[in-house]
Amino acid sequence: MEAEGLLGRYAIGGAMAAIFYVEPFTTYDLDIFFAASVSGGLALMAPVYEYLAAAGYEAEGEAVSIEGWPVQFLPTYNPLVVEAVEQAAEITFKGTPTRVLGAEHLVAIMLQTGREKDYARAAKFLEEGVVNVERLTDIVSRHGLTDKWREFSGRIGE
Amino acid sequence: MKEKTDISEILERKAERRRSLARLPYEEKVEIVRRLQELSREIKESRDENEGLRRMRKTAEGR
Repeated sequence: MEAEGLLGRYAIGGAMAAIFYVEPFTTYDLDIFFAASVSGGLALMAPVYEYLAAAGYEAEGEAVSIEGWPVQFLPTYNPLVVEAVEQAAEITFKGTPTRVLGAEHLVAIMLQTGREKDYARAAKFLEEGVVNVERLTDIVSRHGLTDKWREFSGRIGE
Repeated sequence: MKEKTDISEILERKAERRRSLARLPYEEKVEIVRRLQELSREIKESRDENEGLRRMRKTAEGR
């Protein structure tokens, strides 16, 4: 879809991106963040949904069911997510090239989102040593998350 | 007084297991997620089934 110009640069985010870095855990959906050059709410998604419907993948609520996975397409909604997609890691999945958000950006997004489950996941990233703390500190400071980072570090005793 | 049991070795093994799972290729991890989803669905179905049986038993007892 990116090659056909339907989506801007995209990357896997959310729980399925987290699983790239840490031990697998139960999750039910796949979040795809994509660069949106214009703001247009849900109308932005219409060509994507049409393209997928033509390929036999129907919308289910706010997601599209693709090969048994509810896939949610999310436009990059703030500067942190824009940067995360721009700097996403290039990977291959079963021989197909794709991208996954970097570990440090994922943790920064978790801090920004700030739900308990996000903090628990962020703690796992730090416990497992998959985060470059210097790089993370740089990201949180540039995106106004230093206070949240300090509070979180205090909680987990980093 | 009963001595506390040392479980540090067990915890260390569990941590090592988590680290080894984290090192698996992405494809294998996604497959594990699929299996976890199935397991979760089976547990939910079993819970719903047992809930139905519990209700039936309760109704029968009330008669």
